[in-house]
Amino acid sequence: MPKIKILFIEDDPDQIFLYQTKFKLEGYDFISAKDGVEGLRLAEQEKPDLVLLDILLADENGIDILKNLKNNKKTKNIPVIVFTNFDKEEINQRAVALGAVGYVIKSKVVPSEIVKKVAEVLKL
Amino acid sequence: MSFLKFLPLISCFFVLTLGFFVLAKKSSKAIKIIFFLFCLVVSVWLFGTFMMFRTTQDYLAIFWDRFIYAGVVFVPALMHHFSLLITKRKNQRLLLYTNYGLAFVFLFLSQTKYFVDGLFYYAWGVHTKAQFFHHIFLFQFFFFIFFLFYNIYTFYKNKANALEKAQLKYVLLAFGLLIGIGAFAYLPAYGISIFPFSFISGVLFAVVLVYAILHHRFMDIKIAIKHGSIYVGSIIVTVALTFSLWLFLNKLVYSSDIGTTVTSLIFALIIFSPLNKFIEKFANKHLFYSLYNYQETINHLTNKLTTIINLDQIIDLVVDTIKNTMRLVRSGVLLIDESKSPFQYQVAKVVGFNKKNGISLVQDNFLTRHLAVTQKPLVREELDFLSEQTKSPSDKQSFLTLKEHMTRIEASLCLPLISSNKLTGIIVLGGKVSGDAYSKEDLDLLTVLSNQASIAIENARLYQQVQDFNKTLQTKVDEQTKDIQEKAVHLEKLLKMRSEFLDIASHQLRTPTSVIKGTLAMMKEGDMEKMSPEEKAKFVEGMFQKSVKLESIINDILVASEMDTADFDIETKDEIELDKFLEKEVNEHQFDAAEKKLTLAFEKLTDGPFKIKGSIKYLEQVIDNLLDNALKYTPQGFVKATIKKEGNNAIIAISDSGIGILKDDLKRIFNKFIRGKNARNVYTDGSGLGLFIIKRIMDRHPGSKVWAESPVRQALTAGGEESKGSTFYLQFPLLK
Repeated sequence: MPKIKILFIEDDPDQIFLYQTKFKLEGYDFISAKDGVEGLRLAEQEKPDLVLLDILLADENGIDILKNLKNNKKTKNIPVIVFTNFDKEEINQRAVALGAVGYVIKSKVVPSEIVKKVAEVLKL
Repeated sequence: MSFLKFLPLISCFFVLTLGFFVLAKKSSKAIKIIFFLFCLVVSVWLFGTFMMFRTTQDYLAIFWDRFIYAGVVFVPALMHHFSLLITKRKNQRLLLYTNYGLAFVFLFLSQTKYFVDGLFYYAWGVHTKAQFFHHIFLFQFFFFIFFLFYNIYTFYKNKANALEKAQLKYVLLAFGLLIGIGAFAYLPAYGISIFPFSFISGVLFAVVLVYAILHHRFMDIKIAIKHGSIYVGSIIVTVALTFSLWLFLNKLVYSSDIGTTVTSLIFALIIFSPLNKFIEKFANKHLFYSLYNYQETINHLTNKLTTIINLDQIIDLVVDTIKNTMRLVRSGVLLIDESKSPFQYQVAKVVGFNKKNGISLVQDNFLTRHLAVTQKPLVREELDFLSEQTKSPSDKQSFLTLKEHMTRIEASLCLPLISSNKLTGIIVLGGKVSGDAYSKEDLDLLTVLSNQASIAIENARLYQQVQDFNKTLQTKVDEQTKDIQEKAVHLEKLLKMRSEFLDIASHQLRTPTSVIKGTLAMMKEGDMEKMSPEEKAKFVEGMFQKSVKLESIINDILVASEMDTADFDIETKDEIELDKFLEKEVNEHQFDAAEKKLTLAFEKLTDGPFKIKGSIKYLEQVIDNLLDNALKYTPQGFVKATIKKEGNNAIIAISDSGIGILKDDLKRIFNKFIRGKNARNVYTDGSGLGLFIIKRIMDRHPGSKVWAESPVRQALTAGGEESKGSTFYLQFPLLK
């Protein structure tokens, strides 16, 4: 059975290192993109099983990246969990409305919990 | 000429009708009876003459002439009596009695042959011959006619008021015509053949006096011709003209066909309206007194006034009513504005007057004082009299000045508007269209009208005050509401800003927290044991860096929120030698620069001294932050700090060869939590507060400022392309 592939769209290298370490330890394939353009490209090429998306990215709003993912035929069926420290109910609702399957605040979960959440979403 | 034979009879009819008409009018004044008797004796003369001329027998001619004298002998006494009554003369009583006595003596004598006897035969008829006593009677006749004219003339000259003068002119004219033409009737009695045209004098006499009655209320006779009568008159004239036309047309075409009838009817339709207007205009001008009905006018005004509360409308109504009722050329209303001190007049409405002229009337307070005291209409014609009556020399002059003033602006009458015994305004009236003076009845009516008007005006003013007060109140409420709205908008903005602050601040705080927490959780859960030593080291280092960052963000937030309060202030008492200060700061950053393989240089571009006043503690933070930023956002190349003197200022420039700042960002880079869009590509954890703090500190240094320049990139590019870097400037006023 091939490994489950996670795409993490996030611009902070410290965080990428942290979650990559954890997911790899848990047996996942883990790739990351530091902006929306790269994220979209990787989503198309690598066909990840799930996308973890940060909302407050440097040059574009994560919500726009979510829209782009959902508007793209090749990527629209990939489940997206918004994974951010931006805790705002409106954004949460908008993300869900746009098709995100979850909205998780980073500081409220430890790495093992996000791994569990991902497994839940993918019904593993 | 059969018509001329009837002339005496026609005259007789006119005069007798006039006599009966005057007698029939209400009021039993002596003057009316005397006037009637006069008309009666004149009619006797005219009727007798008519009979005398048509008789063919001598004895009958003499009979009719003696009949004539039975009336004519009373003419001198009645004319004299009439002149006394009309001029209100109390003397000449004895003369009058003598006159009447003589009249009875001549009455007796006139029936004898010593008065008239024998006949002259003329081409146009016969006339009796005058005898001895006739000569004496003629003397008496002309003597008392002289008295009539003398009495009337002296009264006209000295005592008559304007109305009486107007009336007397017609009296003089009427009697002048009657006597001047009528006296020719004596000539045939002395054998002088003159065609007997003099009987026309009776018609003229009657016509002139009827005009005096209609136009000037001679002998206080009023004839009420209403608008309805004018309408009826217009119909009669139209019918008459139309009928004439119809007859004329029928004669022209020798038959009466439908065409002439239709033409005539169309003619009637066309002329009726203009004719009615013309007759009304004519009546307005010439039959003035008959046109208004005292009671009706008052009722009309009262009824209308009760339905209006608007001041302007009331003024319009009052001015129009007076102007139309009296047929005036001009009128106006001045109101006293008590809200100003001293009080001022304001022109509420003028028709025909010049506004300035209206105000000029009340420029000196004399008129105001006079009207306030008398509370009665002031007629221009009475000003001479008032001036004579008053004892104070200054008042005398004031009356005369006022008269000149009123004459100049063509004002004839000033009516006071009195409310609660106080003068509230003046109605100024010009002359009448007809040129007549104001009669006593006019003044009575105007007094009533002005009283009505004052009450209505006062009510309207009170109402207006209440309304104005309401308006002011509404304005105040509106202002307050607007103020509250503005405050609400401002508060909303503040709340939004606060909420943004919290959103961003919490994000900034959570990011390092989540890494630290995540790392510790993995350690606790035993994940560390599965890692390689390099991974473990990187893991712990990452967590440490995040805790350093967390501390710095907390610090920035604390400083920024402290600076965000209104009473944040910095003591700028330290004397600082800025060049040395900057050099020291630069040196402290050499280690960091070396670590990033950047060159960091300090250069003094001009000579000092660079002494300024400021806060060492805060300025250290400013320069430290700027150097930190420069090093942080410069991947390769240099950072340079320079100082120079420019005018009375010291200018520090910290420039780098780093990523630069986008044009859009330059404007807002000093705002709270704003970071350059490209900044995160290089360094993700900036608080967005550094430049904000720098700006606040510089703002608290009097005369100092900070700004940034970046001659770079117009758009963000993905890669690490070359940029020309950015420069931050600090300007401080130098100490002298």
